[in-house]
Amino acid sequence: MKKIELIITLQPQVLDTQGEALDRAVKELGTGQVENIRVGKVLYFDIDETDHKKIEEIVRQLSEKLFTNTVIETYEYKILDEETV
Amino acid sequence: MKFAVIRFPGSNCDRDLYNAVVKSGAKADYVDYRETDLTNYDGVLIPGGFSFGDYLRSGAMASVAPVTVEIKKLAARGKPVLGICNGFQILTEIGLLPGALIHNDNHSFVSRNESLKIVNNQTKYTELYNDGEDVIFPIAHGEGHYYCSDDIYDQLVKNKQIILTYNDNPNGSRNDIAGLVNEDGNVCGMMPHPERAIDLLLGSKDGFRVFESLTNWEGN
Repeated sequence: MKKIELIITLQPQVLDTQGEALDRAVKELGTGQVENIRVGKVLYFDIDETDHKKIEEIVRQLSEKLFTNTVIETYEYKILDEETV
Repeated sequence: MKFAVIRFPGSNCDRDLYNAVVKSGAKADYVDYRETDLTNYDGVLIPGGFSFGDYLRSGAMASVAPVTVEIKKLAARGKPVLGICNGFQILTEIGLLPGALIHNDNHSFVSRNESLKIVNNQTKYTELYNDGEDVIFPIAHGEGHYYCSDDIYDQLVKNKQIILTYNDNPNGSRNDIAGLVNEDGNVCGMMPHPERAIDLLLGSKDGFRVFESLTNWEGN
């Protein structure tokens, strides 16, 4: 059993209205050093597999079929180290 | 003609859509999203709303519902498939229409009567309109900004797939796109609601001709 962290973000050319709103809020807070905020999503789930190839196959398949919309989003994932059994 | 009006958990324009197509003379049934056989239907209508609460992304959960397999089959056979608002979002998520719908530029939900232009009346959905005709359909959406790559946009223009545009773009949609059809012209998605514009009592009946076209769809 492995725990997966899947991070989904909008592709860089896609307007991120939430990020823009946060950018404005951060400026209003007076933190001028911060800009280009992009908001994404993170999914955590467990996979009953240990083989990295199989894990990749499952994660990619689900990411492209359901978890992400590859027209506007990109994704990356990592296998978290700790066993979750 | 007999239409399947698909009902997902969270659909909320299903009755309007049903009423509109029945008023135009066709038959219709409400069909549950778990249905696995649509062979008795001549076309599919996917209503607006917030299917599955818009969880993850608008239309994402609906795109993997059992009924979508059947919708794809009907579309492949050249039958009419119309998705309005959330229905349009679902059609892009399924891949029956290109591109995607993202948050309105100002991140506000916009609900108002919208002035639109019929920019291509050479489709089965718009054949009862004049080319360049201005119409009023209500809009009600938070994620109606039509997004596509330059390549897809060029294809849409080349194949004359864009049928409806905003006169006063409410959401940042690329080149004011409000509605389009697939290459074959039988699958149509639009953010505005023609089913809410079928009687002057409701402020506009400009949308009714969409349903008259569907009812008189030839080639079935």
